[in-house]
Amino acid sequence: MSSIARPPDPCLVAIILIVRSRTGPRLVFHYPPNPLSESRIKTTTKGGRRVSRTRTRSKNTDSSSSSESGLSSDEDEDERETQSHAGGSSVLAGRRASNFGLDDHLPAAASPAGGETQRPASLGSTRGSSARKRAAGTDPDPDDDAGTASDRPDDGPGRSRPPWESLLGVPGSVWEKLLSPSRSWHKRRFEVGINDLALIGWPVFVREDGSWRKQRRKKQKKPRAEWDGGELGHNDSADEGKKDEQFVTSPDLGASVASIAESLTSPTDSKRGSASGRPGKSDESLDPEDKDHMTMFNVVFVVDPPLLEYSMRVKEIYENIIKKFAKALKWEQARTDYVWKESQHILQVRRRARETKTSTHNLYSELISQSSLARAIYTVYSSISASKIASVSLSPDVSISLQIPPLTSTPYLTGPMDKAYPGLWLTTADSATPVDDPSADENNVPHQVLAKHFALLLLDSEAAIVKDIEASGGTLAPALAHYIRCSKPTKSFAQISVSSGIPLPHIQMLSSHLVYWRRARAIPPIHQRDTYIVSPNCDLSKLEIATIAYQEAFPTYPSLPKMLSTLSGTPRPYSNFIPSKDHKEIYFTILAWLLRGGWVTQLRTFARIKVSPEIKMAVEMALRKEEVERYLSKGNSNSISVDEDDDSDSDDEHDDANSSSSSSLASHGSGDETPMPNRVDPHAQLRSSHKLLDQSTALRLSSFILSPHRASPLESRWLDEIFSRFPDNPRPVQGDENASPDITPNDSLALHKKYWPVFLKYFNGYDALEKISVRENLKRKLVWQVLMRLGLVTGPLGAMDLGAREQVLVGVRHW
Amino acid sequence: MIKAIFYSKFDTIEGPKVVHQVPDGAIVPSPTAPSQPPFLTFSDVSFFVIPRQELCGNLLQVCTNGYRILGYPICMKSVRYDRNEFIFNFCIVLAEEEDFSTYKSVVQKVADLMHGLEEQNGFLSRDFSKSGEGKVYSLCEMLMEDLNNYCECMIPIDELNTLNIKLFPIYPSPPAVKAWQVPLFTLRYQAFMDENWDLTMQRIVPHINGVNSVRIISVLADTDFSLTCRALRHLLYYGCLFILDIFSFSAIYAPTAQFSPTIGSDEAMQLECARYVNLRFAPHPPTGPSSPLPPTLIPTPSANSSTNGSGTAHLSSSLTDPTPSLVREESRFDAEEIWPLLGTEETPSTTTSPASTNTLHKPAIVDGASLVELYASLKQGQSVKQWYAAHSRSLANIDIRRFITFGVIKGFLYRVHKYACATSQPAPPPRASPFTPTALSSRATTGNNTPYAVSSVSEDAPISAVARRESSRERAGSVVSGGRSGNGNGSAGAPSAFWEEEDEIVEDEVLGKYLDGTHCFDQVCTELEMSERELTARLKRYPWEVLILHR
Repeated sequence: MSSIARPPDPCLVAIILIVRSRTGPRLVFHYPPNPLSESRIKTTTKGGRRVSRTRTRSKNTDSSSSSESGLSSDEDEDERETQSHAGGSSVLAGRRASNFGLDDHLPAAASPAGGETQRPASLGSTRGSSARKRAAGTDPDPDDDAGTASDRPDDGPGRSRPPWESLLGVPGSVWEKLLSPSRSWHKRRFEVGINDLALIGWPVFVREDGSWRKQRRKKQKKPRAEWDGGELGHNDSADEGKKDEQFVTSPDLGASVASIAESLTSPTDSKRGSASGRPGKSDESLDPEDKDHMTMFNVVFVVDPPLLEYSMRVKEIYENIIKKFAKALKWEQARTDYVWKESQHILQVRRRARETKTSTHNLYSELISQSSLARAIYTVYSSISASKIASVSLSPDVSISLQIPPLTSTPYLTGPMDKAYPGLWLTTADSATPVDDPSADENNVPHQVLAKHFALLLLDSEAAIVKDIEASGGTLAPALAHYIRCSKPTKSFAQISVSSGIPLPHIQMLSSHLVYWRRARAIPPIHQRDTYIVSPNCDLSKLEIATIAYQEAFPTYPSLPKMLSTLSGTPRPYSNFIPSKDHKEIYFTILAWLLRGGWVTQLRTFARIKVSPEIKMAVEMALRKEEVERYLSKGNSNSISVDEDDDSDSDDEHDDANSSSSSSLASHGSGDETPMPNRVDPHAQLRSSHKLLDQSTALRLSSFILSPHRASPLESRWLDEIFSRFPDNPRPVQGDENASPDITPNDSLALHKKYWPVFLKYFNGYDALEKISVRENLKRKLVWQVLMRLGLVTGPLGAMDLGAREQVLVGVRHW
Repeated sequence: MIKAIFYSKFDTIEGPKVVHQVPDGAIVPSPTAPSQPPFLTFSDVSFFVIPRQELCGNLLQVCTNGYRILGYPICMKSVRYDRNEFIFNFCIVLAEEEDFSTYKSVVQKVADLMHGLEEQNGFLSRDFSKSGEGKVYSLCEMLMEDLNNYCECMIPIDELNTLNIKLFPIYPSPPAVKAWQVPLFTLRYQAFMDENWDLTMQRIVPHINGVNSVRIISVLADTDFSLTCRALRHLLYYGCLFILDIFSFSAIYAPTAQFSPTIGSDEAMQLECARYVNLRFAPHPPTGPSSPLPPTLIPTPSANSSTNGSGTAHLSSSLTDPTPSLVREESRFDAEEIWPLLGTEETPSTTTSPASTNTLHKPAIVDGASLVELYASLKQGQSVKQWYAAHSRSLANIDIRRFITFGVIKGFLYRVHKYACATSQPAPPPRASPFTPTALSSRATTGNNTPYAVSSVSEDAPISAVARRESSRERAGSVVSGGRSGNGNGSAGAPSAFWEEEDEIVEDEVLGKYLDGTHCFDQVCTELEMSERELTARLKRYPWEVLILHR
């Protein structure tokens, strides 16, 4: 039923955690254990495809002996070469080479060493990265050596490599080098690509002073307030630097949040905490590492986006998942040395697993059950790759929810040549359109406040959602539950606010929370007089399943196909299908069900004002007359010298205009562009509009006024003329569109005169006329009467017999 | 645009090293171009440019400092090299946000070529020229200049090798072509087809005219159906085709949300539409070699008599049916002649008849706003036939098929397809029982708004004969565009009604497979080779109740 799964695919392949300490980078954890059953990375050392050593290690699980031996023999050679070379150059280099051999925690002594000895030497020589240098520089430290040695007591030659030590057919050591970038990527997007895979991370480096977070007391900000923002989960507007620490915690439906707020512990605290906290879970083998500290961690997401959607997909997952997850980890790292402790724990488990030759499967289940970080990565992977919300708890105190916000609606109906997302809600009624919220930015800020004239459509049963909310606890839960119980899809937020007493801003906040976390959708309130059609985008392949679900929900009512069949055909108000007044409620529930699944969509009416040639001619005549009058009056006031320049100008133009009235476009273009823009006097405007009229053809063709509330001077004149032609009223003296004529509202014939100025702004082709009654707080019947009189033909009841001069609207109906 | 190209290799003494760079100083500071600030810090990315052996032979990319570096490192092993191996990489630097998909193959191709050259004669390893000089450098320079300026290059390297590269844009792969879809060329295929084309393609191309469905095309061209689909898909990939639906007068079209931003406000599009649909500008009948199609649209004499011939070359290239080029006889024509004329007034003007104003003593025309009104009056639940009947005067000089097609192509109209869905209920008696919801919307008001009623429309409209012919057995040529010949009441009554006497052509089981609500009528009709009329009648005789959904 819920077709709210994100249609686009998150393309997530794997998540890799890399940390770097003084002993070098480590691939701590990756999930899933065997991403992409078939490796897409050719691990050849020679170029081309014809190489003797070309062994596509298609599956990292099958570390067959033959391949292993092939590898090691080759690399033995390498090592010999490099060592001889290195030895020739300097002692340090030789030492470093051997040291790296140790450093590398791959058990097969030879295999990585070959590459390592060569590359690090070269890297070390060119790369200026301080971290790198530090790693090299600390090599002689005996503690360190001891540490690494004891770290890998089992690093004996000849041991076969455990399957989990390589990823995508590439040994872990390669990934370690690849994914631990230099400090210039600190808190930046780190993006690398290998063939079709993109690896994206947000590396975090330790600060120079050894802490993980800036001391921030200068900006006196209440941390509490920050977290309130975070609770909603979607108000963090990108990175404004100051929000750096604010990763999004929206524990599912606003659960535990507050706890994090108090956790602004100073970095020194956290260090101490780490030192004291570690013995709890580590055994003596970790002791030598006491002096080791993490200098960087990088959670790298491996994605394989389709080539044409590359940047979009990468951006989506980076902004919504990668950055937020890494920020959360950074937060916890600063607070309790979380990442480092967990990493050590994971490495330790892995080491043990290697000793006992545990199977990959067992190792992973052990890791996921023992380490909250491993579990978090597992959760993120499995939820995000299934387009779900990932609810991750890093510790009892800190939990976050992550998601790539799904597409909920689209105004575009895909053609046969496009990729379709059937089942997606097809509508132009997104919750914030310009007229809905005039103050809002034109460019849709993703999570702005929902317009108050929308209603909330729950995407699950009320009971289920309330249960979830209450289960999750959290500060928002009681408010949410209360609101959900009050909410109805037939009532707008504003109406609910009045009836329930919940302040409107709260309702908007709670609703947008529910909408963001996929529990609800903002829709125009359901109304029986509105028209609903079978959505052209509905997913008929799901018809069979949906029919069963529908049958369970509404056993005694016409089946789903029947209902859809009924809604096919000529569109008519929904009330036509409701058999009796008693059935109203249940038929609304059915409609809500249908809307939720994208089976139906509201057919909305849009209109524009058509200006007929008569109107144009009449205005043209009037303008000419005015001009003549002005000319005459100017003749009278000739003595005023100030006007003279202007006058001569306008004379010329006037002549020009007359001569060019046979629609010669060239003279027209030159005439009106240069002198006009600066003047503001009304005459000038009229003159310019007059010039527009010179296209004789335009006069004889009808046209539309595209945006009546921003009408040009000429269009305003047309509107005035149209208005003045409405019958049954005294001619207005001056037709200002905002001045409502002085007529008794009871005069039904003149109703449209009264409401014309009010409605005018909706006649722009983009604002549904269904909005008018809700927004202007008018009786629906009255609104439609007026619209009908204005020439809007809706429904089957033909046109009313009205004078042509009132028929100024051209309506079109779509979703 | 390529920002830079550089050639990097692993130097046994210096490590990863940029040997040549274009432009000079773009990657590493160069003494010869001190003013050029490097785009990036090479040391940050050197581990990528010259990676570990395991990653050589893969396409690698890395983003830094707003740039994206694409490279394809190659590692060659041979005793002739120091340390017995030679690692090099030709990298392309692009702006990070730029689409890099087309450059992937470039990088790979260059790497392959260099690999070959190096193997043949040590092209790279023996290039000891200074940075900014020598063959390798000029190759990089030419590559970048040619690709940026011409999107292709042909650089001779020696007597045996040439570097030929062309940038190809990458398009999404088009969905599978269905038998009931109707392709229409977006351009004149005659202009670019030659005898080297695929044989299937050559045969089907003349039959693509925006009227024939894919199945009809394959029948007419006598080509294998699946090959036809593949050929069409190929054309689709390059954007040479639009996909339309089978036009018939019983079809339903309605506006989409694109209405207001496109035809509703775009006067240029209204003009384009007028040119496309006005019968005055109707093209000559298609003259494909073996086209069995009868002449589609003959300009009505009345429209032509006053003005000069048929010609305007203004027919938008993107919308013309595949017609021979029209010779434009007159260099200018009055702007107003673009608009179709109104038909003669037979009845007291209906409310919807536009431009009923003759005040300017001009021939009454359907102007842009009126075209918009006509489009806006298309709606769900109303067949083209009914719509035509209501607006016959405005449509008198308009090619209906083109009118509809224009809207579909521009995306502001969509075809409302019908789907049949059988239920487990036994079929109701001919007149639906009153309690079903269907009955609620029954013919009490405007008639035929129930799905069932579609076929039972009384055939009073003058086009009914044409419509019947349209919808009758889908023979080539029966789907005449516009079918204006029926405008008089000439051919009424004669054909059709043949199905009634026939035995059941389609078995219930065969039909039943299509009745799960996922097969549109066009598909059923095409695959079972029956007309919509036949299908509707057949569905009524189906033993179970069949519901019809409009989507």
